[in-house]
Amino acid sequence: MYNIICIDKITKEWRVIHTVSSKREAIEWIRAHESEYPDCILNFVREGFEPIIE
Amino acid sequence: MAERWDVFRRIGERHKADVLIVIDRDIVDYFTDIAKATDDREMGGFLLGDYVYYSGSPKPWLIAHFHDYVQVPNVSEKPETTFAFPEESLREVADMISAGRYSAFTLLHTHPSDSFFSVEDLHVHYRFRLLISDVVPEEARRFQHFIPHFTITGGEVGYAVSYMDYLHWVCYYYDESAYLVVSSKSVDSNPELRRHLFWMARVKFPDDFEFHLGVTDYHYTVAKISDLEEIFIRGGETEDVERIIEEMKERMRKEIERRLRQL
Repeated sequence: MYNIICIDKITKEWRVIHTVSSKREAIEWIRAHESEYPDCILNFVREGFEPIIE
Repeated sequence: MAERWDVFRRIGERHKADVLIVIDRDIVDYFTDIAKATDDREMGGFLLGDYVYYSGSPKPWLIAHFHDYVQVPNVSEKPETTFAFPEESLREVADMISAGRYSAFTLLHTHPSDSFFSVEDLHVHYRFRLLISDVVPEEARRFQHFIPHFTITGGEVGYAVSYMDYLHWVCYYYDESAYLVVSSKSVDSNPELRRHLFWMARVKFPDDFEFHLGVTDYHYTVAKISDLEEIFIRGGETEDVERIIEEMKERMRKEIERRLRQL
């Protein structure tokens, strides 16, 4: 399982906004929805892992 | 070649590094492709190279240069979330070291998304010297506690991460036309990561009290793969490093001319 995360462009805080079951789904979901989150950098991360935010 | 070590030594001195870890870009490129392509499996292998230890300097320090790799199967019971190497592959690496082909080695594995090293990854690093003690020649184990393990991630961004429980080192990713220098930082600099590791160490390894104490002593480097691909060079590095390399080339040219004259 992968969590789609929104990383705030300014504060760099992140939150889970969606969950999908494969990496392909995660990539496609981000491509389809990135315009809905203009304040976010969208990425995906496996459940239980800590995302790299730099 | 001695010139290679001289370039690395001068770069390490510039960064006041106790330890300089040099990784050829080919290695990063290879494992980046794998990390991008994989979904439900971590993959990895051993990085192979050489080291030089400067014991006579004002303070002793180490350079390790990794220029080769062997990919090995992931024999973990949970290959989708952890990486484990087969014992026979470690023996093969030990044989190459015994034959004098390499003197330094370390472990690298991939993550399919842009996530930090897991607490299981840190535990492998923490126990690595014990894991290899019966197999690998002493020469290659001598400075193992100064050599980080690596993770290459295959998410939207892509990162090269290194980690070990040592205070300060510098990773130098390079090829002939591009390089990236990254200094280590403590997990204390990332409170969320620190908290995550602190608790997960107790959940995943409830009886390893020594590890509970050590897990927050870890330091790490993070480099964006795109920074390498775009030949991004961290501010102020360019002229100094290029000048060092040009000086070395000039010295080599003069040495070749001198030897030609002697023929």
